[in-house]
Amino acid sequence: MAAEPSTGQDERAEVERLRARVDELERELAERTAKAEAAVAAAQDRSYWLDRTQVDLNSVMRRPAARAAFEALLATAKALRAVKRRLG
Amino acid sequence: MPSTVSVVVPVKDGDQRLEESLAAIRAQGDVELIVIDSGSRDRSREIARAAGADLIDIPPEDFGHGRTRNLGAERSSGDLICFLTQDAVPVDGWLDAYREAFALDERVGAAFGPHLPHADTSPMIARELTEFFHGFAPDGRPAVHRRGGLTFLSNVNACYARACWAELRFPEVAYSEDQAFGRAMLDAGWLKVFHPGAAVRHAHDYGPIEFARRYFDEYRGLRNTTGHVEALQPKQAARELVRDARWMRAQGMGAGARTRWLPRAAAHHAGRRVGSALGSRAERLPDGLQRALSLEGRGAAPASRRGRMVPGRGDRSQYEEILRLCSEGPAPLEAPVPGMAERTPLHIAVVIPPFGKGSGGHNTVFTLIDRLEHAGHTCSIWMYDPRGHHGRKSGSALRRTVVEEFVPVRAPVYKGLDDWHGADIAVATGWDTAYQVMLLPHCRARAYLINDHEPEFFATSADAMWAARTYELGLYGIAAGRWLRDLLARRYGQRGGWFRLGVDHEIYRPGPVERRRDTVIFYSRSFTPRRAVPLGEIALKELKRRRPDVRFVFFGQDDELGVPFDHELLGVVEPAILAQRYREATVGLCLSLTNYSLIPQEMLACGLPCVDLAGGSTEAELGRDGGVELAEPDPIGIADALERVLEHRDLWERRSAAGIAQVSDASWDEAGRQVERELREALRERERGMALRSGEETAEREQL
Repeated sequence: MAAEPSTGQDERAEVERLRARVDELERELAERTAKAEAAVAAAQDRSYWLDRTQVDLNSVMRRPAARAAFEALLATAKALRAVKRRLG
Repeated sequence: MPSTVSVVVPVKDGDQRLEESLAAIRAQGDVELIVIDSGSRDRSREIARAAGADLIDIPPEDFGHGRTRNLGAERSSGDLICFLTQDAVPVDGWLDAYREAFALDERVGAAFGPHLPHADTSPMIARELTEFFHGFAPDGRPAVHRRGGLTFLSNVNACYARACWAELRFPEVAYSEDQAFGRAMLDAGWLKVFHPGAAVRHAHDYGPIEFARRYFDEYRGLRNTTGHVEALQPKQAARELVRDARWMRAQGMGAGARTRWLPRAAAHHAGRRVGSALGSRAERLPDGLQRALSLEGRGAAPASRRGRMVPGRGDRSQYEEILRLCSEGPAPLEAPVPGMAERTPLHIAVVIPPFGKGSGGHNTVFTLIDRLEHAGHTCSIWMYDPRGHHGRKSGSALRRTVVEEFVPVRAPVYKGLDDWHGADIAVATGWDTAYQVMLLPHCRARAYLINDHEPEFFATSADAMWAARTYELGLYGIAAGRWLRDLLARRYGQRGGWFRLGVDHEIYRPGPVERRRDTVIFYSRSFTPRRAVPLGEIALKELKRRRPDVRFVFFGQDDELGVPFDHELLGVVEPAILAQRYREATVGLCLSLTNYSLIPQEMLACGLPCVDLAGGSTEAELGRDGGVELAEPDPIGIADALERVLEHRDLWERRSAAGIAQVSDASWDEAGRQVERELREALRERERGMALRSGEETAEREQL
């Protein structure tokens, strides 16, 4: 009969431990949700003009000519930076 | 099993190729040949008799593409019934190919074969025919069409199993009876076969004008049977011309011949596009013009028997969610987690209807979202727009509008619910969003932020009925004001709480501006019928008659009302400008036939007494002794109230001071706290429900 209180205590301790774990998981979920929603809002702010003008850059850049133009633009920017460094 | 074959050829003035055609049919083997003549005045009947055909004469007015072919089928006896037009000449092996097609499967109900050009056919027609029919069997073998497959079928050259024809028969349509049959037979589970060997020589080589008229007829028929509307597509004509040029070269035509043919091909394709586009819109043209454009000389179809087919648009109704909720029931809520109602942050997903410039209801929703965010919660906004009010605007564009034109919230704005990813609590904010919210899965609770009693926005209608039902869906209601909460509880038994509309005292406050003694500022948003703008308008006319020196300023919409007295139209303006005008004016006039709104409170906060209707929500929320001068709901009563405030300085001062005091503690921070409390209460309800259920389960276990 002496074992019963100890079993009850164990159960209570287990329940407490599980409750603490649920709290922790809930907190993690809430943090993750907050971060995810903030990230979506930030992405929406960044992509506003692309969305507004209905430009799908992914489909534009699939065209070889656009890719070539982009590479040329990168090369020009790189060259300009190099010139700037040399002059500056 | 050998099948007997009947060949039916409807004829009218067809002597040009009829002799050749009937001879070619006879050359296929033993067939029953039936010619149905509908008033030929050439040698057609004589040719038919000479070919040994059974000749059936019908009056021209009895002819119908479906009806006449049904007659031919009824009079025939073959297991297979072939239909040819009077100018289609079967090639060798035609009939054997049909027999082979029907031997493929016992469910084959019809078969058709290609149309080959004659030797003298124009190159563009020859190219089109060849390419078109090649597409049905690119590998040169018979192709079987099943339900959901190609429905094309042409009675220029087709063959039917008697059982299939008897089951479905041709519809009595002016044109395209074969296309309608093709669709119906596949829907009914029959198979259709294209056999490249069942070919006929057949090409309509009209001039460009005749071609355009023929396409007018064909597409008019297609519109009637399938609802198809053909776009003009001028680029398509240009593409066809290029393909003609390539084909002519591939056929070995010299440069001279190509140069001769290309202008005609251009006219052909242009006429075809125009004829098709006009034909499929023929119902908009007068009868005489239709008759003139039709190659068959037929005018508009008689308006009696059938309406026109209208193709379905899109795959969802505007009221899809109501149907889904009725048929599937609400999505189950997530199991409650103990203590969830007390946690911060909560994830609050707010589903909103489309908004317009200056929408007060949306302003309230976004301001509350802002306050909930400041209280540490995570919010997301979901635009429910089944009618496409916002067109192709994306979530980011909508978010920019919310941030720049309403309140700078942190929440992302999602367009539609496709990306729904659950929330602690989903909040409906308009009657049609309530149905959508009931269907959202992965929520722990659902609430309904209610700005107004929306059934009153509609005349007696389905919308009014559905709006009323939203209060009985079981959503936890959070009403704007006690009056509305009580109404919802009394009339619909809705449970829930309320919040008091706030005032932005940074903007709406008394200021050092000289107060005019002659100005009425009127909320004239006429496209919101509950604002009773016509009532205000005639009250102001009466006031003008009594006091010709009174000035009027209208705000709330940019459109003119067309009233018979001068006034300044302020339109929809920024809050700061509006507050400035409240500080200048003598009395405000803002009517509401449903719930009270932000405007009277904002007027009062600027020290501007206002007139509203007695006996409604404004009286319940703002009382009789505050800043609002209440008026009977008639133009004379309103004019009297306005005149009282304009005339009696002591009354004005009393109302002005009482108004300022009355709304001094109305703030959005407090409104946000009230809404937060109610949202937590909605979650607590779920927890209590869980505790109750768990208690019942324990009791049951103990009993057992």
